[in-house]
Parts: sequence; structure tokens; C-alpha cells
Amino acid sequence: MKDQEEWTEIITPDRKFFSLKLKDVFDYWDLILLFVRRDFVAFYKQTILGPAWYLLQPLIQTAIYAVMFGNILSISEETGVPSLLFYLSGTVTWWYFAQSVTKTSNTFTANAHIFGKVYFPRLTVPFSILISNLIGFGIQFTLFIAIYIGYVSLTDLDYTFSLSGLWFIPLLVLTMALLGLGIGLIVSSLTTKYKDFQQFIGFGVQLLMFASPVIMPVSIAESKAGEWGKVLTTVLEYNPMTSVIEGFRAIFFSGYKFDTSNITYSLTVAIVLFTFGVLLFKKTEQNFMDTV
Amino acid sequence: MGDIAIKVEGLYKQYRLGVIGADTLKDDLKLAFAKLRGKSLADVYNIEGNDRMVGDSEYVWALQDVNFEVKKGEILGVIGKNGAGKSTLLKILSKVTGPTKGQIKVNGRIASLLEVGTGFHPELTGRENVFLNGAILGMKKHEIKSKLDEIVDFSGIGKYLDTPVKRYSSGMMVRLGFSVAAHLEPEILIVDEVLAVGDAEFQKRCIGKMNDVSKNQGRTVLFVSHNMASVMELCDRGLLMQHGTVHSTGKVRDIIPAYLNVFRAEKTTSDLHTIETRNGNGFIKFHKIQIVDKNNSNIDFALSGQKIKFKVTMKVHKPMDYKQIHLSLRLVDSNDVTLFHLSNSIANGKEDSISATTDEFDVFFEIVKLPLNSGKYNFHLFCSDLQNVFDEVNFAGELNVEGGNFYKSGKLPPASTSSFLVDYKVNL
Repeated sequence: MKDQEEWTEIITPDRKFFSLKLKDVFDYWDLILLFVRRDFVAFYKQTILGPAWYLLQPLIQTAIYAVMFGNILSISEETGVPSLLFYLSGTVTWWYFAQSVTKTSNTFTANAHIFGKVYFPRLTVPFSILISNLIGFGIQFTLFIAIYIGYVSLTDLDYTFSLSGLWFIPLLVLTMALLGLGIGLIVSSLTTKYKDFQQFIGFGVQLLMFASPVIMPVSIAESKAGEWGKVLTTVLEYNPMTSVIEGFRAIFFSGYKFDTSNITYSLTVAIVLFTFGVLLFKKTEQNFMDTV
Repeated sequence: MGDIAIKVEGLYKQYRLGVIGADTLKDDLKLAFAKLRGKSLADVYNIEGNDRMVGDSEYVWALQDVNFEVKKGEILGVIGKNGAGKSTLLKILSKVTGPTKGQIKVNGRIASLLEVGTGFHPELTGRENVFLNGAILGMKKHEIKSKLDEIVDFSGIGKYLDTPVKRYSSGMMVRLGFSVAAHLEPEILIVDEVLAVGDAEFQKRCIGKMNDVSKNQGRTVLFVSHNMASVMELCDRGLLMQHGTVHSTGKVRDIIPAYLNVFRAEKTTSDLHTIETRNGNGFIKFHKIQIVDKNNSNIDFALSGQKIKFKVTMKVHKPMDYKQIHLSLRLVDSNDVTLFHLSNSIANGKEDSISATTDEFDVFFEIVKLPLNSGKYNFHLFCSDLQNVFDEVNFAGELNVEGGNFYKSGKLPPASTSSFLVDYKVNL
């Protein structure tokens, strides 16, 4: 017994499921920041437009949606919000979620060459992705605010902006961060052995977007009659991203109300997925090099 | 207990052979089910059995019941053939992968160098990569900052520091990577043959640095290498691995002969009579070739400076009195450039004769002190008398040479620049 206390570390085969050692991760805070920097720099190296891509990416996406769904299918007409603002609000929030999921989901496979040579807490990689995506989101959200202010001051947009609504933003960001990270962690753990999951996640994220209010608000889905309308409403109801996107819109646009019970639901799902994801990830990290 | 840095107890590691696909999913489910019923992992895999293969299963034991201790401040050289389990052991020690059974107790911070420059990003500059690589290896930002000048100095990349590393030569990358690693300050350092890279001068500096790290700073080093010369020079103690188990441990000078014995047990005879492409009338033919040491036991490879013999068995297919038989062995490098020529007529000044009653005889080409650096060499065999060529076999065999203690100093010039070793003295 006395003997045991002398060792700084004991390497054993089966780690306890709940031994998270999160402190280790924060001991490597410097590394997390360096990863963030690396990803940020690598993102725009050898591009002509550089960091401007952070702004162009959602703008182009929004333009596509606005033309496709707003003008041709005239979905957003009934929302009372200019289609540019409507789709931008959806795209920006969805971008964050989708990026978190897809980037986190190949943590093990993409970093196998580093993980195979050196040990450091593997969770540093997903956390760095979380942070670099937050920076990206910050930039894109600022773009949204700028365009919003432009609309408010130049047109007679019916807006309900209130300062108190701003307090909900951190909560919404937290929900979406935990959701993206949680799903990403689960998928990354599964892909170490079966790479099929990496294929699924591409389609999955896309499919989930159509089942979220990025393109059409919940109110419109409800008004669509028929069996598919019903299915869509149910999916929307259970999609934890629904309340996040609707929540953002509620802060800036009239005609949306901020539903705290939906947010609570989303946050709960996010926390559950995140916790499960972290546990699974920790479980996987010890031996994944043998299978990846 | 306090003076032990690493204690490995009953360590096992299992790998699955073959491809991962739908079949492995079935196995996984079986395993998960067994676990659910409360069986331990060790019960599910059959841990008994001495062979690395367990029955006809697709699992293989890379390590089996490995036990050893490393004292603080010691440099332990881990040696063994390819596939003996050295790398697996290092991977488990550096926590890259986990053991299947058993445990390792560690006293002190471990840093492992299975590769240099891990995590270098080509788009980032040398300076940025020093920070990134340092952080990956476990250094804090302020630590790296305070050592940046030393690191840059040691690597000798100086003015290229603010250039993206994708513009570096591979040698520069290695030097920068090693410099970062060399300035880590762990209590235990695990090094895997990284010294095999870089030029001679840099290798020397690396060895010097490792010596300094352990002897002057009292750190523990685990060093894995195939290069006997550097193991002999650096390490106090050796650990010989064979088939995933510890064969023996002890002083390096005792372990290295054991290492060579491991090879001796394997096949080294090669048949020459089956070779089809040969010249000559075939009156006398090369039948068999063996490379043996001074005790006439077969060796798989030779050490620089060792006494070795090529034992050639000849068969007489047309018995008669042969006078003036000339036999020669020509040793060539990997580009088929002749390095030296051994022949009875030159060494003895005359040809040999064979009586009509002989149907088989052995010829020994003996090299008293093998003057070759580590590498792979081939040899050609030739037999004739003054009129006829009896037999000629090109590429009759391969001679593998490992760096040995030719100069009794534990050092050798790099094989890339000097394949010959000359017995010489330098006096001041």
C-alpha cells in the first residue's frame, strides 16, 4: 500500500469509465491555443481572399438559400423577415453546429499520425475545435449584427430587439457548442473502428438541417397540411437545434417568441450527449491506435 | 523503492490480425456480451500459451509477460530483432496505446521521442512549430519561450526560423524537431532510433546530448536501437527482447553476445546447388555457403571488427586429379561495385590441388577483422583451374553487417560516408 503512493502514474489496461482526468486537459491549455492558431492559420493559407472566407462562406450560402427557398419557393415570405436576414440567422447558427460535428468527428482519424507518436490528452483536439469554431461564429455573428443594424436603420423593419434578449445568447451558444461537440465526440469514437460512420455523418448533418428551422420556420411547417407536414413538425420538435435557431431569431425578429421550455429541452439533450460523448471518447482514446 | 523510475509488471499486449470489417463487428458483440456477463478481458482472450499465436485465432501477442525495472538515472538499451516487441513496449510506455493486461508503474514525468518533429504543420514557421511541437511534447509556453534561443542554437537553423517549414530541407526539419525534444526536461526520456537520421555531425551532437541528459542531469533514458555501436556507447544496461518476452537483462557487454546468439539459432545456410544461373563446365560446383564465426557457428549477420569465415562446400562432379585449382570470393556493395577479392592463389601464393578420390571438400575464406561498416553486401564465387572455368555463381549470398566495436571506442564513422574501416592510429 505504501508502495503505491510513490508512483506518479500507473498505466493499466482497463480505465475506469468515469475517470475523466479533465484536469490533464487544462494542463495542456497552451497546446489547445496553439491548435486553435494552427487551424485558423491553415484555414486561409494559400487562399487569395484569406480570412474573408469566414464572411463570404455564410453570405454565399445565404444567397443560395434566399434565391432557392425564399424567391423560388417563397418560403420565407410569410415570416415577415427579409429573406437575407432570415437565412443568414439560420446559416450562421447552423454553420457553427455543422462545423463542430464534422470537424470533431474525425479527431482520431485525422490526427492518427500525431496520436500514434506522442501522448497528450486527446480531448485537447476537440476542445481546440470548439474554440476555433467559436471564433468563426463570433466573426459571422458580427456580420449578421452589422447587416441587421443596416436593415433596422435603413428600412422600416419590424423588429423586437431588446437588450435583455442578449443575455440569452451565451446560453444558446453553450447549447449549440455542447450539442456539436457531443455528437462529434460520439462519432469520432465510433469511426476509429468502423469508418462507415464518417460517411453517415456527412449525410446526417445535411438531413438534420432540412429538419431544422434553417430553411423554414416552425410556424410554416405546422401550417403545411398532410402526413409529411406532421412528420416534419414532429422532427422539428425533437431536433435540439430547433429551439437554438428559433431562439436566436426571437431575440432579433418580431413574430417569434422565446420559448424557455424548448431551450431547457435542448440544453438537457446537449448536456446528456456531451457527457456521453466525453466518456466514450475517453474510453476509446487508450487503444484506438490499434484499430484506426 | 525510491530509486526505481519504471516498473513493468506482467505486461501483455495483444493485436488483432487481419482486416477490420463486418466480421470484427461480430467479434466485438461477442466480447461485449462476455463482458456483460462479468467475465474479465483476460478470460475472453486466452492468455496462456507460450507461442505468440494463440491457437488458430486471429489474435497475436506482441508482448507476453514482460517484467523489468529501470532505476533512476540509468540508460537502458532495449535491443532485439524486428518484431521482438520493442516498439510495442515503447508505445505502451509512452501511452500511445494501452496494455491488454498487466501494469506499468512510473515515477516521474515521461516524454517519449518515437519520432522527431511530431505535429509540425508545413504552413507554420519554424518558430511557430517549435511552440506547437514543444506543447505537444508537454512543455508549457513559458518554458519554450525561455529556451527558444537554446533550441534554435542547437538546431543550427538560425535565419530560417521565420520561414514556413514546408520550405525546409528534411534534414533541417529533423534537426529542429530533435532540438525541441532535446530541451524537454522530463525525468524519464524514451527514445526510439531517432538517431538514425540527420548527418554525422548532428548524430554526434545528439548522442552527446543524451549522455549529458542522463549522466549530468540524472535523468532516466530508455533507448531502443539496432545500432550496436551506439547502444554500447550510450547504455549501461541492456534489455534483450525476443518473441515478445524479455530474453535477458544485464550489462550491455553481456547482453550483446546474447543478442547475436539469438540470430545464430536461425537459418544461415544457403544452398548453392539449386541456383540455375551459373557459368562453367560444372566439373566442380559450389554446393553450399555458410557464414560462421570463430567457433564455426552460423551467424545471420556479422559485426564490424569480428572474425568471420565464409565456409563454402564444394562438390566434385567429375572426379580426377585437379591441380592448380583457383577459388575466389568477390565481395560487392549494394551497387555491385567490388570492394575486395579473396582468393587462395593470392593469399597463399599458389593454387591448390585435389586428388581423384575427393568428392566433397570445404573451403574457408577467413577474414580476421571484418573491415566493413554496417550495411548489406553480396558476394560472387568463382572456381577454375588454369584452363577451364568450373563454376561461377554470382550473388551467391548476402552478408549483413551491423556496426560493431571495430575501434574498441564504441564509435564508428557513419555507414553512408564510409563503408570501409581501416585499422589506424592517430597520435598527437
